[in-house]
Amino acid sequence: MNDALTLFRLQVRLLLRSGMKSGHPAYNLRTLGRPVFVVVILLYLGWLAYFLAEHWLSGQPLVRIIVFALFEPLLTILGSAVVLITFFYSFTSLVGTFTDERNLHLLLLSPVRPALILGERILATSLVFSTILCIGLPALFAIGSAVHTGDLYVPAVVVAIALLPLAPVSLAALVLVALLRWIPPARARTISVLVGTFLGLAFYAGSQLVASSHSGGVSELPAWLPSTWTARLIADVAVGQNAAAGRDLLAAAVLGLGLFIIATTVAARQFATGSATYQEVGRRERETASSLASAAVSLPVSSEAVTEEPGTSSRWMPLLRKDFLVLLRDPQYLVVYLYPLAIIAFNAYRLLARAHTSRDLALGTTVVLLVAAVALLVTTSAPGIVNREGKSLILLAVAPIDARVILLEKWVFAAVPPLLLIEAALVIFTIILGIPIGEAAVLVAALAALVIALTGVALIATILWPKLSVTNPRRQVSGTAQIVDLGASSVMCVFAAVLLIFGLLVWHGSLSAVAIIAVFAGLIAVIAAALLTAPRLLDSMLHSRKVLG
Amino acid sequence: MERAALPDTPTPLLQAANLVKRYDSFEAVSGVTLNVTRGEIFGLLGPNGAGKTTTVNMCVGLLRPTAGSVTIAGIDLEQDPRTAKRLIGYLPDEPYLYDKLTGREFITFLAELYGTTQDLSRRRDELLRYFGLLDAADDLTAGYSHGMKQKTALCAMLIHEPQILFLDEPTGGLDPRSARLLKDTLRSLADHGRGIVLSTHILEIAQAICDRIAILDHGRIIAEGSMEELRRTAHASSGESLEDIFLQLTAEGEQGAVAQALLAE
Repeated sequence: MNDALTLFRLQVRLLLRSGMKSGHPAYNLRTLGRPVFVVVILLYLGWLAYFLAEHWLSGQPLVRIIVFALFEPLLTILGSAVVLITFFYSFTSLVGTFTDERNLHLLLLSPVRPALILGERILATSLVFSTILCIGLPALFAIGSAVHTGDLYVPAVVVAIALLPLAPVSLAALVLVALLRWIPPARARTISVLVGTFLGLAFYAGSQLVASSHSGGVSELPAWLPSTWTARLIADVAVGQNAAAGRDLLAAAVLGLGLFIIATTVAARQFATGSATYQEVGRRERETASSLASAAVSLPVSSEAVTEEPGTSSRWMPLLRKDFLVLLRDPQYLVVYLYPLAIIAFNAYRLLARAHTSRDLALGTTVVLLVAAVALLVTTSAPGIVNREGKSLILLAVAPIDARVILLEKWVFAAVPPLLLIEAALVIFTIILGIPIGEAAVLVAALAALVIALTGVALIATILWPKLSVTNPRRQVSGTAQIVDLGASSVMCVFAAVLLIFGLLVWHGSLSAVAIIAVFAGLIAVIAAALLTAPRLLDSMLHSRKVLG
Repeated sequence: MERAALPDTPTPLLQAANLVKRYDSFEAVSGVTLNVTRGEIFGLLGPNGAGKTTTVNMCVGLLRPTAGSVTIAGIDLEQDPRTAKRLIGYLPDEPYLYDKLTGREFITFLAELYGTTQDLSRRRDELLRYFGLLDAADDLTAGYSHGMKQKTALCAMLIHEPQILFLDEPTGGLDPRSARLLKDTLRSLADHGRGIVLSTHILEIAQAICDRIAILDHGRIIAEGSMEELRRTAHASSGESLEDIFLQLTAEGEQGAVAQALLAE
């Protein structure tokens, strides 16, 4: 019990000091003010969202009936998707915890029981996901209030949110621990992310196929699918089926706790017996040989300078080549492109497979899907591009290379892969759906502009709020940069999608032209603003304490 | 393509004049002036937080000084940073490499950034052999030990034949054999006309290889010169080591009086 309290106190202290960079850790208004302010703002926004949604639903009887009718199938699909996404992201989160966090090794050397230490880490990871899921609380509470669910509804939602990530996080921990037994830490991140991706995609495709075969019309997931149990708990309480809800709760709790206990036990056994690998032994042999070899040769020094003023392309190429090599060698970055694309492709396949889809619906679906794909691809890949340099950014800061060149290289490197993927997808859609060449050309140009603009926004957000810590690979983007980027990208994507749909499908004549021109004018304005400001911001960052730490 | 032109005149390789770095009300460096000539190993010593790293960062172009100027072989770092930076080699206190590049690829990358394409393969392999890294050159640097990373960073620093080298705590993480290799390397580079600025805590190394030493405290140079000159400044006997002189000059309480005495001279 004392050990648990010690660990708890440590985590609370680290949490309270997470925003502090230096200085004496006294808790005063200045140090605590920011997190308190953020929490108050979030609570206010949550309450506002709840109030608006509840108010709107209360005044729309028809919508209320539809929501109530579709509540269970939609909630189970959403819940299942959240479980799969949590499972995928648990791998990146846990691999950082198990292989990079130095205080884990420090704690494992202490007399505290390893099971307690590892259990606390897995539980903490699960709680982080639960905290993120709280974003959905206002909508769930608003629906509950509007359709007059019983008293048990709110506790059921809270329990479900707390319980939902436990099973996928524990399962990911179990798979990861099994992998770490066989692979050295240096390769752990790459291999575990690959395995996590393939398992996640397999589960996703499997559940979608099960849903398709289970029902004819609206996709409905079967009750025996474990990923639906927590969501079904909320749905059953909402319709007053408390006995069924009790069964759902029991099943979800047994699954989550069971996997958690197994994962904790297995992880504790493995980590307590030491996680040193053959890698260190190999290194030792190599170093001995190297040290002996070095004695005989003399230092190669030239009497003159050998540097030459490189041409413009010569300055780009080393950076591009380096980034490309890193991308190829770290599947985690490739997965960032693959994961959203696979989900979009799967949904596109299912939508387009319906032969009776009208031309307008097909074109509208194509626009929405591709804009969503752009948003997913760019917001998941671009923000990490500069941060990925880590402290090695110092090497670029002291090299004879302009910040403008570095910025443009990062922009090209971040924009080209999503651009190629999206344009290729558009070509396929154009051929399958027979989209007229004029509309296809507009889409090609608009999507290209959207990718470039979103990438510029992502780069500016990460330059303004960088996260260059090499010791924490779990989160490559700072929270502020992520929120700003997601907010700005969402606005730009909605703006582009709505105007494109109105311009290509709803409006005609001059109104249509105005909508299309507005899309391009808006996006080009964003690109121009990014081109003007980003190089200066990067130059300023490269010569500031943000890089030096 | 145009070659980096180096003046043959006895212009100091580094001229840092009245460098000041201020963060809000805190002055990290207060009017530091340094001159380093060809063939000279210049030691920068001082207690933690004395301003050594900030001074080095301003000299290599990582931080912009609040006031003062830096010229590298007569080229103003602020006015013409690209030309000046091509003459600089910098080894930070931590070896920042790219985990997913091999040692050979990392050195090539840095060489290309500095425009060093002439005879690159031969020079790179010679450096790798010299530092005993040839066997591991095609392994990812993620698997390197700290010492190997430090030596890879050294290779990368030397690949473009810099004229002035800045090394911040270069012996950290090196085993005795590698530390000796580093000392020999620095001496050899100085003998070949390079200027070297060495920021270190390890006074034995500074005493053994530095031609001139500056001691920083609270952002100011409180003593500068050869070992003999430092002894005279600190009124120390000929048998006293650099450690004795350093402790004497930087001792809390007495420091103000010593600094005043030095300034009065």
